[in-house]
Amino acid sequence: MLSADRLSKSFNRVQAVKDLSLSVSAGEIVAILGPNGAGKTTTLRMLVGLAAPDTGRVVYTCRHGATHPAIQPEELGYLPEERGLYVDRKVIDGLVYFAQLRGMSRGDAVDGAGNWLERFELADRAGDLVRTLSKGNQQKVQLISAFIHQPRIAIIDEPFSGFDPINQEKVLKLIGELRDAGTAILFSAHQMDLVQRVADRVVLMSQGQMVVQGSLDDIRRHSGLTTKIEASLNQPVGPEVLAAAPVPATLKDTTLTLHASADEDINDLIRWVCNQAQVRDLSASRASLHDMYLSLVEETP
Amino acid sequence: MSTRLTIARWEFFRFFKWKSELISLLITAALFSAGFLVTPLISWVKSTDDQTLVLLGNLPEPSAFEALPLTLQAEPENNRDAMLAALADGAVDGVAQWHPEEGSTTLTVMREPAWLATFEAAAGAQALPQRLAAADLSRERFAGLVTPAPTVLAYHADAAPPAGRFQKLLGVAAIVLPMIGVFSAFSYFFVSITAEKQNRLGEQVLSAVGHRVWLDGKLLGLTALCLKSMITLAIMGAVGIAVYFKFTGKALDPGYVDPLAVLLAFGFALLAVTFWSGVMASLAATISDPNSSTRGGLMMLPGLFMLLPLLALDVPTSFGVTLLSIIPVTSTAFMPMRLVLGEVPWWQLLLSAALMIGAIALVRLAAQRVLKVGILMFGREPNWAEVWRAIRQPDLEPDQAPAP
Repeated sequence: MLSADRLSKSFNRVQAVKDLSLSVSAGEIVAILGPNGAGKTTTLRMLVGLAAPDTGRVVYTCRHGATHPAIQPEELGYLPEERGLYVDRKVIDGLVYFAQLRGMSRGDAVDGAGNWLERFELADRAGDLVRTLSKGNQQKVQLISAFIHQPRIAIIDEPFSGFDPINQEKVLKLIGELRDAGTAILFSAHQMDLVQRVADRVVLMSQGQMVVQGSLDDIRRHSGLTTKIEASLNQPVGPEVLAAAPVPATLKDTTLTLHASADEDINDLIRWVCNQAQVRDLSASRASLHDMYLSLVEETP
Repeated sequence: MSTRLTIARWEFFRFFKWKSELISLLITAALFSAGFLVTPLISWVKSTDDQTLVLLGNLPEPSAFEALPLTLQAEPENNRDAMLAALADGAVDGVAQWHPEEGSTTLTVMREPAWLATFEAAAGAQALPQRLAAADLSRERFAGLVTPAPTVLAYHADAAPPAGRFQKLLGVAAIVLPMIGVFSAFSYFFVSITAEKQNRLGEQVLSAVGHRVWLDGKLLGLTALCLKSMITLAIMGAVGIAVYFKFTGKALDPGYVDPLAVLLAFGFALLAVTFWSGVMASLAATISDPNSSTRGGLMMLPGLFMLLPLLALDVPTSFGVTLLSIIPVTSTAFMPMRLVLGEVPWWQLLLSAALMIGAIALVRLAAQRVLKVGILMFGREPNWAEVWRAIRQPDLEPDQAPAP
């Protein structure tokens, strides 16, 4: 549905994005990850047409099957990093206005806004001025304004920021539902635990370039991290133990962590740990996206 | 077009609230009413009827003092000391004494009185008979000498009818109404765009409608709001003036007024508002923080253009006024005045309107480009070179601008 081919963008001789290619299909969730300044927001802004790439191109296939150099505004749901609402207008008025700007009729927009507010438990605040809402509720309104017109493609910059854990779960559920309804979703986030629960594919960026992209399993293979063994020791061990570890290991206070790849025998590794010191507690888990992210980003020169 | 109208409607109702509008009308009506009370109030405050002036001795023309707004008290000359004591006590407010030998009058007071000028005129009249006698002149002959030779103003049969009082009022309205419209545009655009910039609404709206549609919608909605302000003021002014002339009994000579000229003048006023709205939108988009930006002052610039015609109310047909009524920007201020104060050749009217519409098209284009760049620029204001570059390069992005 949307593909970007070798996008590059510089600001004042600083390369923000370099040769980035990615795509997102209908009913797919793609997460863009990367440290601050990696070029995620610039990439999203190029995709929605707010910034023109220096080189490369964007191709969007609209609902009628025609291709365009930019996403059709009425088919786009966009939640920018810089959030903004008309704070001196009523909640319902602002939502209806944004929906109309995205091509909805006034009647449909009013109905849609009512349903969405109901869903986010804000129906009783529809007639209130936006400025009277809490920051979290304003975030909800912001989110509704991006999805009220049932976009074919949603580009969301930091959808979880500003939400408490309960509402983060709601956002997660919403993204899943949009995917199930066929919406293509591309989003950036720093909450790795949430990303790994919902993303079909991940694009990892660092210093304006793509480090790796693919499914979680692809990323896991690429990172070489598959399983994490974490042991709480009764007493600290010396650096010579870390140096002698059969796989990459880290030590924090009395917690020894081993990062094992797929071809390692976990039983051997557990035995090795037990030989180094008396173990108080031990757990083994598959490497999280967080671990893979740290491993891959730190590897990037 | 429907998206532009949606934006226009939104912008209009961002500022138009029925309740505020009603309150504003009531306050204006109250101020008009208060205006009728000002004249009697000033007369009452300035009244000196309760003050007393003592006239000592025999005055040759005592009736000359009757014009003074005071109570007059005649006293013999030998009461002078007693009257001066009364003056010191505050029982009287002035003591006047005529000196026939010198032909002068002494006025003794505790402080300079408000009626001094009237007193001086009356005192001068005291001296007149003595001076006429010395010059061997009769009063009638003197009056004939000092009366200016009359000039009779006659209009040629083909001349345009002279402007009546009503027509002159229309002339002032033709200057004031566009000015009100332009200053309304100043406030609406300033608040509208700087608030959107501060509330970070730029990305969201631009990703939905683009900068061209957004600015067009704003121009439509906020110009309509300015039109509303102008019409409201015109109606209030007309009602106020009608009530004033009704209550004071003064005649309002209508003179000759061409309704088409009034309509065209209003059209030019709208062109002025639209043009300056574009300029205001551009300026507002470059302002990051209205509280600290020095560019807010620039938004008063239209006031200069709009006030210029006040200097030319008496010479609506001069070459300078004709030229300024054709050149874009000044034309929006000068042409409405010319239209209501006299006849304007059709070719001048059409040329002026065409040039102004062209200027509006250019300003609109520039405003769209500056809005696109300025509304997404946070943290600092674009400098003038960047603004100029934005106007010349339609696809320039905010963050492409060189670092300051």
